[in-house]
Order: sequence, then structure tokens, then C-alpha cells
Amino acid sequence: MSSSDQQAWERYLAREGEVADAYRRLEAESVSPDLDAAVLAKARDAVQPRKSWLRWGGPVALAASVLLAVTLVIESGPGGSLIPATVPQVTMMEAPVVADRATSTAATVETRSEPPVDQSMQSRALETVPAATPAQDAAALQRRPAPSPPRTQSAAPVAQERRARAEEPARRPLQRVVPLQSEPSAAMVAPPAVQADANVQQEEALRSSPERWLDYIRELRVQGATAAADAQWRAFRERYPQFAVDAADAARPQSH
Amino acid sequence: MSLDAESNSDLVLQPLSASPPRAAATISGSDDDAALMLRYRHGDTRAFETLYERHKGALYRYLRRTCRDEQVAGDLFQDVWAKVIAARDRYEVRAQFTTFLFRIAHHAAIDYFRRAEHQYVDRTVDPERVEAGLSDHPSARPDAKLLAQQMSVTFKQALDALPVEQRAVFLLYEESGLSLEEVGRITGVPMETAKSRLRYAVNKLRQALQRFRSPVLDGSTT
Repeated sequence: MSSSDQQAWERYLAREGEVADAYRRLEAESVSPDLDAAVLAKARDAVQPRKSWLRWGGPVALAASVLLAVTLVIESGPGGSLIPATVPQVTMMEAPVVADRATSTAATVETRSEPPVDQSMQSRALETVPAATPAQDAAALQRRPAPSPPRTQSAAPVAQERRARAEEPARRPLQRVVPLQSEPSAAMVAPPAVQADANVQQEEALRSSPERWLDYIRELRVQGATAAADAQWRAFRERYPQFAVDAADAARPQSH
Repeated sequence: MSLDAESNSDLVLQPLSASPPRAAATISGSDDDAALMLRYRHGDTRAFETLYERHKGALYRYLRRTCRDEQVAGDLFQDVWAKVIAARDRYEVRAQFTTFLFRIAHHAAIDYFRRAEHQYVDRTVDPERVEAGLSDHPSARPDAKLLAQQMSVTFKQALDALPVEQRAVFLLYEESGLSLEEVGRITGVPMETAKSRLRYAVNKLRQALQRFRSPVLDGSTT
């Protein structure tokens, strides 16, 4: 390489000389305003979404919390969270147990008079009294807690129905034992107002099947509720006069 | 080429180089570039606008003259800035922002050539053919202004005719204002390789300008 080339090269490296000058003399292509706007808009958009997310973060979290709470209330249902809605069901399920104790030990009154350990236990025990002895209905109702609000009253059947479906197998024997401590016909014909719908439904379900109805009558006789069993037999025959029942069937009234 | 001819050419070209060095002006304040980028990282769009104004011209010229297509250059220009914007969260002050920016731009240009299969061969113009064509130009004795225009055209054609590696190194060196070592880093080659490519490019461009040197002045300085 000649000395002139070397000299020109060194000048170029110093950003001088004809090549550097010629390059700078080229027509300068400039960025169009559209390109400027596009790039700057992209730069702004890239930063703004983060801010907008932060701005909406609070309301979104609040809405999510409310939604969660509402979902929990709906899922748990009024029967699971509202005490008045559970009252009829508790009465129906625990009445036989307490009544059974009452008939076997004759200590129902003492049980009620014992100081309760817990207020809820007291209220549950009191709830069992009307089913145990009809004569004590008035006193028990007087000691019953204040009536539940209309909203929970209307919600009670929904919870009852839901739980009735879930607990059907476990509750069936208890229903059959109910007449033991009270007159069966009275228990079924004139139940407490709160239980009316449920008992009617249960009774209708029972009576819709002759076999189940007969089982029920036999159970009554086994338990010694002869009068109730006879009443049920009569009702059975009125509804199913042609249904074949063996002459030695235990459901039939026993002739002396 | 003689030493005298080189000197004479400088005399002829001197009036044309009145404008200040563009690259040096473009990169002034590069110490603040990283700070601007960090400010933009934290949501300061004004910092980005400053950064953008500072570098957009050099970047666009590099892309425009490397790809030799206005539409492609515009697309790549947006892509490069989009990558800068996307990389703001992981941007680290390890090197000059200019190095960071032009490395993205260089890779974008290389990707374009690979996609378009234009790499190194497309639209290449032989500098000697350019020079021969101009020698047949009707205006054999133009005045100074016309001469300057013709010289710019010739220089531009010679620049376009350079192989893409040489053209890229030359444009990076001119537009970024970075050192040869940085240019080598951007293009992924050793500094000596970048220097060699630049030297080849400069020699070819000088050859393209050779015919515009005044024979009168050439003779007088010999």
C-alpha cells in the first residue's frame, strides 16, 4: 500500500479526509414523522399497561373478594349457616333419641331441668321436647327462642329438602321411631307448623310404596305402638284395598 | 495514487466538508444514555423520547444505507426500537447504549438479508462500472455545484456497491461513532477483522472519488 493510501487511511481513522467528508455530504435520509409517532406510541404503550393494571388492581381484588364471599354463602346454603333454618331438621332428627330416653328412663323432665352446658345444647334439647310429649308442647314452645326472621323461614324448606336428599338413608329409621313417644297419628296428622311440609312429604313418600308402608307398620308393632300400627293399617287398607297381604303378616292387627 | 493527488483531492473536497462530524454530534451525551434508559425502565417516557431523538437519525441512516431499501429500513427501524422497548426491564449498564442499540440493529439487518436471501450478492454494483458510466456522462466539465452533486451520487453508488460486511462496518463506524473494537464486537468479529473490512471499504470509496479530483491541481502539486 502506498504512502498516500496509508496517509488517507490514518486521516480517515481520525474521522477526516475525503471519504469521511463525502459520506457526510450525502443527502441525509431522515426518519418520517409516521415512524416517529409509531415508535413513540409503542414506547408509551409499553409503559402504560403496567400503570393501568396497578390502577385497576384494587377494584379487581375487591370484586374477586366479594365474588368469593357470595360463592361461599351460596355453596354453604342457608341450612349450613343460618341457625333458624336448621331448627326443624334438628327437631326431627333428635326427637326420637330424647324421646326414647324419656320413655325408657322417665327422666325427660329432669333432663330439661338440668343446667345446660351450652346454650345451643339447651336450645336443641328444648326443641326435642314438643315431639317427645305433646302435653309439654306449650311449655316448650314458650321457652323456644324468638321466631326466626321471614327470610330464613322461607329459606328453611330449601335446606331441608337438600339435606333430606343427602341424609335419606340415615333418617329413615328415626322417622319410624317417632311415634314411640307420642301418638303416631297425632304426630303425623298434626305436626308442628314448621315440620308440616316435611312430614307431609315424608308421609306421602312412605305411603306411595305399599311395601315400605307395611314395613313401617311392622316396625311400629315391633316397637309396641299398637294403636299407631292399627291406625296405619286402617289407612293402608283404605288406600290399597286390593294389595295382597299375607294373613300371617306382622303388619296386620293382631286379633286376641 | 500519489500523495499529491490525495492532497489535491482534499483541496477540491474541502468546501464540501463544512458541516460538523455528524456521528460525533449524534453520540454526544452518551454518558446519559444509560441513565435515560433506566429512567424509561421505570416509566419515564420523556426519557425515552430524549433517547430516541438522540439516536434515531444515526440508526435510521445505518439501516437505510445497509439495506438500501426505504421500506425495509422503516420496518427494521421499528423492530429495533421495539426490541429496545421490550428489553428495558433487563437492560444493564455493561456497555454504551450505542453499542447496545447498534448491535440490535446489525442483527436485524443480518436477519433481513438472510430472510430475503439478499445476503452479500443482491443489487451489488461494481464500483468500476459506476465510475466508467460516469465518465461517459454528458457533463464532462460541470461546475462546482454540479460536480459536488455528481460526486455524491457516485459516492452513494460506490457505497451501495460495497459487500455487505464492508458496508456494515463502514456505516457502523460512521454512524455510531464507536471505536473499531466496538464495531467488531457488534458485528461479531475481532477488531482486526473489522479494521480490515473498513480499510477495504475506505479504499474502494476513495477510488470512486478519484475521478473528481482536479487534474489541474493534481499536476500543480506533483
